[in-house]
Amino acid sequence: MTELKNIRKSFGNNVVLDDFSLKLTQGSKNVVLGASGCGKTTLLRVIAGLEAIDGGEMVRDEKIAYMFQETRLLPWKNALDNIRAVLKKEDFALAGKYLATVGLADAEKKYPHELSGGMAQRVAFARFLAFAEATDAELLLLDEPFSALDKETATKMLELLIEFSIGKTLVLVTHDEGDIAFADNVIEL
Amino acid sequence: MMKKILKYSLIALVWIGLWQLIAMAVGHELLFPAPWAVAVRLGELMITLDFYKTIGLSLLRIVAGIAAGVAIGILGGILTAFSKLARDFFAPALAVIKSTPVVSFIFLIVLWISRDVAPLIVAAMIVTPVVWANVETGFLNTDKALIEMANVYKMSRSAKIKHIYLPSIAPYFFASLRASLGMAWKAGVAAEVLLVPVISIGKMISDAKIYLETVDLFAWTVVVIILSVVIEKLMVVLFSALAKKGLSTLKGGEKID
Repeated sequence: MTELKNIRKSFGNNVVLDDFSLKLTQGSKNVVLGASGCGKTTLLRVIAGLEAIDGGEMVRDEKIAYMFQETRLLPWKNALDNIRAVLKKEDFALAGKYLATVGLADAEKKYPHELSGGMAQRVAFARFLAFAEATDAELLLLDEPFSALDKETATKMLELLIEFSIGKTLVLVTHDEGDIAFADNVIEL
Repeated sequence: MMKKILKYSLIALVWIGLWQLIAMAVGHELLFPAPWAVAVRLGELMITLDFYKTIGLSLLRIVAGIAAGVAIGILGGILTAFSKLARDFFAPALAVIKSTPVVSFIFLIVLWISRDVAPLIVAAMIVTPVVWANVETGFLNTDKALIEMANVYKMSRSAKIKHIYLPSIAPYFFASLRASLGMAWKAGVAAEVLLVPVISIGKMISDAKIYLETVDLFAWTVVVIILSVVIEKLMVVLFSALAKKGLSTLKGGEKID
């Protein structure tokens, strides 16, 4: 279980989270909504431990998988090797499996600069899924993972994510209110 | 490919033609020998064993210096990239090496160590600060977002070095090689000319100057130029191959492409 109690986070004079509390029960599906710049990404980064907090207390699951808003692919590696780079050798098969799952089996030898924005985002999503399976992640954190995809593909990927996250705790940051239908809990910032 | 060869052959011919015209205008082999005379002398030198012994020993000294400079530069660059204290500590030493005239070093090395190793140390001193600075810059300019991604995805330290740091540094490193190898070779030969180690290209150039054998001076200068180009190309090919090997191999040594 992950719990945030009275969290305070600021950047200089800009207070992003003030006395913020949140409880993520095991297996719950959570969506974080809010306008641009309201602190959605900061909240996700705080939960992941990527940002130090200024005050408050936090307990979180150990096994976390995180998908960044940007693809953060290695420019010098092809799609398949980008995924393999975050896996142990015995899990290499997951790279091909999840590239195929996101519909990019034919693009495994393509380098990031040869991919469209949407394709690169799907490679990053495949990397996230492969890593989450390999490490048996309990907490899945995704920061606007489908923002570069067309509506139809984004819906497919969301369905895939919902199926994948069964039994796991999910926190999805989005600006699309259409994504909240599956959520147990909507966090509005 | 043929078109390229033809183009470069034509360019070379034009320059040799220009050389011939100047030689004809000067009209005195002692002052400015013609390309044919230099080619003939080079041919004569090339059929002697001493020619290869001389080149071999000069190469050994200077290439060893270059290799030492590259090794020190890489280690130093990594150290100062990670430690601000080390960066501040070594900054004056690097500034001194960069701004001290090469001849001062040459004579100090002779005074302190030996004339035979001076070309080696001079070559190392030319290469070290350039490689050092570039490796440090490459490390410092590594994309922080990728490092964060690697931390989030729990990549091991060796995987981070192989998959993120090395590819980020490679362009800076190769640029430093391109910038410093030619200079190091020329400075090494200059050290030999000043110190005349027994068997060396520098001694041959120095002898040619003393005995006014201008054709020999030109012939040995041509050898220095050719070797300079060959060393630069070979080093870049060697390090590119090494980097490529490192970049295309994943954990467990499995080759993936």
